[in-house]
Amino acid sequence: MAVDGVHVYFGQRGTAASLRRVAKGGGSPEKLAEIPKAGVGHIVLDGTHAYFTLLRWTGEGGAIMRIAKARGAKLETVYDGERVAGGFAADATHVYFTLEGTREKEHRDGKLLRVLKGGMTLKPAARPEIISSGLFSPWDLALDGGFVYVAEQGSILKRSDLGSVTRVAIAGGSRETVAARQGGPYSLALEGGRVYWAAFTDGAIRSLPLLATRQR
Amino acid sequence: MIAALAGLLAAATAAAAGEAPTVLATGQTGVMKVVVDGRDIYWAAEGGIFRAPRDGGPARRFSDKTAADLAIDGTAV
Repeated sequence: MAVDGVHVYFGQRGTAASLRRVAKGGGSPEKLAEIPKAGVGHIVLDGTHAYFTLLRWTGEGGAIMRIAKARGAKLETVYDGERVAGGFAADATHVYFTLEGTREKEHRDGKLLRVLKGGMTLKPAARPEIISSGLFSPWDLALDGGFVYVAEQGSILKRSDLGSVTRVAIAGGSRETVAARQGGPYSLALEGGRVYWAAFTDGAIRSLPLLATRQR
Repeated sequence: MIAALAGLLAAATAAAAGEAPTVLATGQTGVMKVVVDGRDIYWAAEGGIFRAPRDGGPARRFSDKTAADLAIDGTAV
């Protein structure tokens, strides 16, 4: 779900799944696109488009789609590849997303990526860039001032390794630990110079100042 | 480049300081999503949507409706 100044955008589940929007003041929902044999995951908006992760019912893969907010627009593919995890955000030029990693590697091979918003509509098609790899079951993410903050769930089953909140510069470089052993961080938000997160395993809501703001 | 390196160094110093996170709520089950505005943090969990002051204070149930996702703007959750 996502909101802009006028509408609430949401995914409708069911055999005929769809991306819809409804005016904030209420009214009848408007169907923007049908999503056959898949569902709508996370949605982010910019001034012209709605971007959403597509969860296929069959197979392991996933995609990121977009559709212009103007009526009658067609769906466009931004990314098509591995199934996108819970992290999804956009800045002026790119969409950012996480891949949770593989079962074979106990999800220690998660990735943080970005791709140009035009994605596969561009000629040549834009390829995703890996910002950071080797994340431990990454889920949610948030952008702030040249950095991406990521909730790495760690292993929910192995309680000796309970995940962390990390950050990495968009330009690349090593990942920094914001907070370690955080009970399976899952959802994450930034506001007012702090990072907030919810931990799935221990059920706590916690916060810390953003690293960049700590020394001001 | 120098500014970026200075930022990374400063951040590493802050991380090394090891500030403990502020705990705003505990014992939440099935938290699906957190959103924050200028005053409060909201989260969807089993039993409804909850709210706590961003700077700390008691968590209260904001709505008994359950939700898998949340979004927030200046006037509504």
